[in-house]
Amino acid sequence: MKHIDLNTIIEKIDGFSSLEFIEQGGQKAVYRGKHESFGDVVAKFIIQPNERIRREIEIAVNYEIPNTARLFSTQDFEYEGLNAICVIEEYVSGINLRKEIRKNGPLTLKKAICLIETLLETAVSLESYKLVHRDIKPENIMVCPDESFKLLDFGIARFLLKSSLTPNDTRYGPYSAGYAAPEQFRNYKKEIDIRTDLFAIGIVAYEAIAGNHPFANGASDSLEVQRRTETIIPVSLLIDGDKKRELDEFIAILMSKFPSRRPPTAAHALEWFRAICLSLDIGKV
Amino acid sequence: MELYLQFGYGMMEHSRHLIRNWGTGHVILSPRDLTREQMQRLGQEIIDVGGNILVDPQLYDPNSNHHRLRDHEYWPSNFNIDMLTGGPGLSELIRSLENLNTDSHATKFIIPGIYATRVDDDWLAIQDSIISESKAIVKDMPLLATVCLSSESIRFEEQIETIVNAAENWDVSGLYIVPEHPRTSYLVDDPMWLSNLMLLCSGIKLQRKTVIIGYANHQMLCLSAAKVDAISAGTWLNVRSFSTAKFQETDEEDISRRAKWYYSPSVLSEFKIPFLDIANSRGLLDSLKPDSSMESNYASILFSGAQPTTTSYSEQQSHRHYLQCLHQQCISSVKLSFDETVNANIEILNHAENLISELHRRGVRGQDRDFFNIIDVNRAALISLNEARGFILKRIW
Repeated sequence: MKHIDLNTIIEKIDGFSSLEFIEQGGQKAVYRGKHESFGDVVAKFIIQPNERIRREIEIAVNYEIPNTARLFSTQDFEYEGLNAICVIEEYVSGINLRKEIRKNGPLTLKKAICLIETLLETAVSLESYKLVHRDIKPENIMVCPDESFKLLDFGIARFLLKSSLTPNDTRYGPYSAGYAAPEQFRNYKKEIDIRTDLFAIGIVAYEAIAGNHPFANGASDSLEVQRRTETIIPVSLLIDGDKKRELDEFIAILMSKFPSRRPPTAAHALEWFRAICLSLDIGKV
Repeated sequence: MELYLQFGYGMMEHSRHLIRNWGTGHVILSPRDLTREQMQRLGQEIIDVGGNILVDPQLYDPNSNHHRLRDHEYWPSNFNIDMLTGGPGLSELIRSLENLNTDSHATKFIIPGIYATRVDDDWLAIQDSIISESKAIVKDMPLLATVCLSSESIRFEEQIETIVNAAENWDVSGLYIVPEHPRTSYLVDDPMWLSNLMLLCSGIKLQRKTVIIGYANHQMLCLSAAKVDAISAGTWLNVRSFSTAKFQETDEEDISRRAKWYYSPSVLSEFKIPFLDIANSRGLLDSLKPDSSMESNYASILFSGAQPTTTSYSEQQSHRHYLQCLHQQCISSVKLSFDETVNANIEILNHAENLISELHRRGVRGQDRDFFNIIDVNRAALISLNEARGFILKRIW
């Protein structure tokens, strides 16, 4: 896609007092800016949005999902004779979890608990809408200055009640190696539900607490990560404050390679996690 | 967990007698062993004494040449596998089976299922098709989908999980699981086989579906840890362990070669009566006696003071004693929590191990029905279950 001309944007979309280019990829260009009505925003300009992008927008417009960036408005416009759309979202300040772990090492138990609870709360909401995020990973989780977390990027989210956009005969579904559950990267569509996100939450939780990835350490490429995801049982976590080893066990269950061995619903997972938290000794760590 | 009576040779009178005594219970009728008229009559008799009826369609191998199976109206005369993927042939089969179930006074409908050499897309497609057709036709009875698995397929965790995942979309109230025993063995010495069977059952139970195990024996008491609803057993070994050979013409009972056995519930082992003589002479016979909780007097004569081989302990008493004890053991096998149930199972195994060691030391052996070498198999399966699903089962019981 060629670079979108800023002047055209300012001309066609009202309300921006400034715009600063962040990144561009595929059909999408992302800017950070100031908007007269919404303040600090992220503006995404998408030319000829495909069905996947339309669905991502639909999720943001129609569903109130906690711990995600708020969507302020969308506006269709024409760009050089092509259909285009502008999506204006809340700007989430902070750094992503990947950078946070690289910079400061593993999270404290207290922060890790906050992270896991945030992700599970979000999963409960997704579950109620029959949605699966399918791309929960540190790069898509923002650590905000107030120490809260936000989950971003619903680009490959799946509506379980709508037809799949991935062809049935595709060997691999859309995924991020190391975070996608086996049923996701193997494109076993019938097996994909919220438990697929619970798997990714388990991996993120493990990585946030241990400071290293359970499958990726020393792997030569993403295929090896994938192979390990299907074959390796991660080394147990030794967590200070988790005397009963319940948190370790909980995270291990989330990371089970078979969906039937993970919590049956996100609501169960959240309920059990909160019960486990009561037995954790957070004060000392 | 309940004991269902699996119909086989000689079960007619046992079923009536035991169900009458229990005042309740389930009998799974076998078209291989009964004509339609016998099924109707026995069904009514069982209902009259407080029992419930199920009909096992036994369509494990639709090409079976067993004349009694082929004589049944529902049995496909010119079977072609395409018939099970839909169309008038499948509808006719299910309607005919529904009639047989209704006439036999069945309260649940066991959907026919073919033997899975391996769990693959073809087998799953046939399952889907038979289940959908049954759902469309049978409206008045809860449906149980048959899952009949080869011993080899049970050994593969992935195949087991494939069934668990597929079953989430099967619109049935439960599964009738028929697991083939490896190498036609009665007691299974393969821990992977038992562990995977347990994982299959617990996976299905977590979907809030009923699980009934067909062709089982006392080794399956450990399935209480998966909170299985019932195991089914009968008189002879060919209804206490599943083999496809039973449904072929050549496999007929040879009653004359069969010895009488005594089941000791405390050691989970069976003994030929001459070995009870040895136990008697060593002063160990009383340790094999069922305790009062078994409520079985069928074998009392063996403990009357006379040398066991000189008593009139009969084959009928042997079978009734086995089924009565297993009935009681099933009832008490499921506890209030997963942990308690696993612990109770471990305790039974530990107790049996200690006692069998002493019996062996003194020359009392159960030969091929001795549980000693099976104890570790059951222990391993319980540990596997705890590792794979313990966290969840502790919270959803």
